[in-house]
Amino acid sequence: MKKSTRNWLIIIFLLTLTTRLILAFTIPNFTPESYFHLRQVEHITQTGVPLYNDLLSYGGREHIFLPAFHYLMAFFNLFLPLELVAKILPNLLLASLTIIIFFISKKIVKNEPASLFSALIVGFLPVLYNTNNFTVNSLFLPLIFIAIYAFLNIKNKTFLYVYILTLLALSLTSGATVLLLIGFAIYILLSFVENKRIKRAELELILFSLCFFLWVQFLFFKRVFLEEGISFIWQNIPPEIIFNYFPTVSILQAIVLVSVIPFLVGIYVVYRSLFQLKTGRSFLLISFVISTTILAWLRFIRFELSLSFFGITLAILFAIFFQDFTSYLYKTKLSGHKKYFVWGIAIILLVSMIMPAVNAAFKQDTPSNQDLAAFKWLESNTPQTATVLALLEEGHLVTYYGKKHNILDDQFSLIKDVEDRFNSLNILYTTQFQTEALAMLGKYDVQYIVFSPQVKEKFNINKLHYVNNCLEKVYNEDTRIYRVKCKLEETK
Amino acid sequence: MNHKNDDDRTQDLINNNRFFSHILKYKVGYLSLILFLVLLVPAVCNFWQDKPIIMGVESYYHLSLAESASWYNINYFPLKMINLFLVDSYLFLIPLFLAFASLWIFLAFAKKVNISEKFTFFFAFFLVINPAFIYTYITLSTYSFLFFLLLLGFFLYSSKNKFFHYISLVPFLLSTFFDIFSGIILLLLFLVYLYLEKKKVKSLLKGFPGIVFVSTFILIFFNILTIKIPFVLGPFNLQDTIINLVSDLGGLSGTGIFILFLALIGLAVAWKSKNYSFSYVFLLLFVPVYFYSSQTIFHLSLLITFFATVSFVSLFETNWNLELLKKFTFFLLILGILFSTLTYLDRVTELGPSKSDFQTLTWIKDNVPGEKVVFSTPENSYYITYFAKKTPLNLIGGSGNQEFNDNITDAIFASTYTTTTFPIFEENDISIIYITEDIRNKYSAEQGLLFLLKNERFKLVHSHKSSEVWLFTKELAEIEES
Repeated sequence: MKKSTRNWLIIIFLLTLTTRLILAFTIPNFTPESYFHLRQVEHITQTGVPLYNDLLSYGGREHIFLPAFHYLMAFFNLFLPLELVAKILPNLLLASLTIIIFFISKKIVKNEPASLFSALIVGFLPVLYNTNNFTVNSLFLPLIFIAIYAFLNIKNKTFLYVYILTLLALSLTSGATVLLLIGFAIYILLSFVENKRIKRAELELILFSLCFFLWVQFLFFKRVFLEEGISFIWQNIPPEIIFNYFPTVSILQAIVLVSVIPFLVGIYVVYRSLFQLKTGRSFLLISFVISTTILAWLRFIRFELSLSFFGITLAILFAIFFQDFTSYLYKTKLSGHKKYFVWGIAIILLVSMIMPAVNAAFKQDTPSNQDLAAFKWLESNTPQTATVLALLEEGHLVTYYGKKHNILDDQFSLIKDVEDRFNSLNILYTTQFQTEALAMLGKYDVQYIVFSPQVKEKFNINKLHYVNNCLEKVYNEDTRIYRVKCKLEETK
Repeated sequence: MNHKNDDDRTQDLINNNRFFSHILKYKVGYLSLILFLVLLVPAVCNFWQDKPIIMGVESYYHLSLAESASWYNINYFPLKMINLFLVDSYLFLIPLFLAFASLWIFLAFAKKVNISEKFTFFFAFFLVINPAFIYTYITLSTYSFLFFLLLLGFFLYSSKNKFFHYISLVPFLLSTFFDIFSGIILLLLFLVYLYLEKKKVKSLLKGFPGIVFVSTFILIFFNILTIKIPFVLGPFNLQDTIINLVSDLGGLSGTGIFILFLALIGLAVAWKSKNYSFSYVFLLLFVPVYFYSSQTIFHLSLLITFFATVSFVSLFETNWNLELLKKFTFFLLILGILFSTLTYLDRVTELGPSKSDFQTLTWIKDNVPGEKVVFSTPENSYYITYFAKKTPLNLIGGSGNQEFNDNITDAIFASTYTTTTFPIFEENDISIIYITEDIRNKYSAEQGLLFLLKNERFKLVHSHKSSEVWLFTKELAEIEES
């Protein structure tokens, strides 16, 4: 690698990391689902094991999840405060994608400036700018692209071990590793259709990967598979909100989230590689684009993740376009102005990506400090065994800050009555009838109700319709908390 | 850099492996031991739990029919005779015997027709630990008997002894009495056998093969016209194509995910080999029939096991560039396959009938006199027939208008108003409602039939653990009238 390239790469990495960290520390708190992971990391730091038997979520339930991400974060939590770990490490990991993607692009196009462009695109991909999102995706994405890089270098024995180790880590991090495996399957299929011979070592590695991944998933999720059957794919998400997790995305939305230039260029490269050039160099990446698209279309993987993966892959494909473009430029009278073109592309890319990226970061749905104060109040001002009614999105806040039982959060797996609970929660915030509300509050043994600004916004209400003698306001800020005083009992 | 490291020094996993050679040498013993263990575990667990040892709805379907079978009923009179000598607790010996006989005949037949030892071993091994096989041989199943008869038939047919050769006609013809699908399988297998034996198809209509073929053909038609055998017997469980295919997804039986994964590779491997081309004929038959009735999972799992064996042997017989991965993959696959079996064995004893089913239904037999119609889920229908000696409203896999009965059952469970539900009970003469734990888990107590049970016309007359017997009583006016 040239020294100038190395310097540019370091600049891109640092620029990405700095932007991400500034945004992460400017925006207060974390996205709602982050609090589940924070709680798990905290528990691992304290006890050494994940909180598989959770006494607070859903009033007591079993969690089954892959713990690699939580262990990694817990390790850093030994030296740093959790909040700092949760803000710095995911952003560091996602910023490292710039370096990984640079090397993948370089491997494919063997052109350093082109690869730097790929790194730049990944650094400012709007869909990755959930800077306050403390989830497994921040580890999963770098890992999966390290695996892809190692796979591309399989001739080198060191990379074989890197691949195996990364696969192990991936299998213990996220079930979305299936993206890699389906991508491999499509790669085999494409190569077969195009009459291209796949290296034997590659086939062996793919077979091993499939077996290993299946084996790990079965070790962890045996019970989930048995109890939920094929529905395990949809994680037992209530049908009413499944569209939030697997939404139908318009092309326009996708373009905005992966940025317009990489999107259009990526589609162009895929088209040219598949139907005109039929070159093998991009087949593997195109297979990943196809696998992501198919899985997202079939609603097998979450929208956000599929779009992230899609965007990063398109960024790599941009390098192919850039290389072809500059080669073409050399053949024209404009070859002397190549430098201006390169700078021009860089500026257009930065202008078209930075604003959407920053915008995406500020659009994150993080609770305010005032909201959190209400949940923190719950911890010391309510009985230890109290059950608290809060929005689905606030479920983890009840357990993380309030340390109280919730009736619903976004960990739906293995919860049999999740649909009932979801419907009850909606009814409890909207019903006009006190008896109906009291019956439901009694059913879930709810003693406190959180009425936050999010509730007002979501249900378009200013107060609970059944507030009267039965509900006592015990916390009155932006967020209100009510204590349930009445109980519905059968007459004797 | 080349990873093809030291192929000469690396001991092959299948060929020239001392451990594997030892297993192959004593394969009959090892396979019998595995078979004994996988079939005995559920029986022993049932015995300890004090529940009926023989499981599955189909078992009680056959036992119910055998109870009333006349001497000329070729299908059920033998079972009736056996049931006279063997009490219910020992009935598991019938499928156990069939399993061992089938395994031994298969191994002898494979040796006789020169199927490679490795292939034979792995096929038999994957088969005996396959949940579909286990389920078939821990229940009284038509297909366990069919498999035995087919193997016996082909074993005798391949014999050089004239007497045994001709006597093969008996098991062949007997195997046509179960359902039309079994007859078709026999005809296809026979054609494939002749094809593999390099016999010309022209010879089919000459000599003994001709007799077997034509008589089988005629008997199938005879059975269709006279005893009206169905295309596929059953089904005796709720139809869910994907769940019933993969045991690891909670299916009643099915195949483990690793075997299925190997089978998918096997499909590609077999495609390249002319020797395996016949397997695609079976695939074309078995897959649509499975979608028609998941009762045929046993046949499909035989084929899946076949393809899995093809890929397994082919994968591990060849040299790998990455020898280290070969060993890892081999052990992961074996562990995965065993894992699926152990998971299945762990939950198979949860299948009905439970102890409380047995206790409660026997209570009905002893305490509720006369001909009564019992309402419950279709899956309980043959337990009701056999243990309670009463008529269930909806017989799963039985004769009659299944769709109509299913609709009534659904309507009752979903009923909201007594004004619509009670007439259904009265029209169908239902006087007993049998509620089990499964019903309580499946339906909400806040609505439907379980909610309506609060009505005064329903009387809880017996309960044992989570099984309950409710009586549907006549209206006061009706009682006064009568």
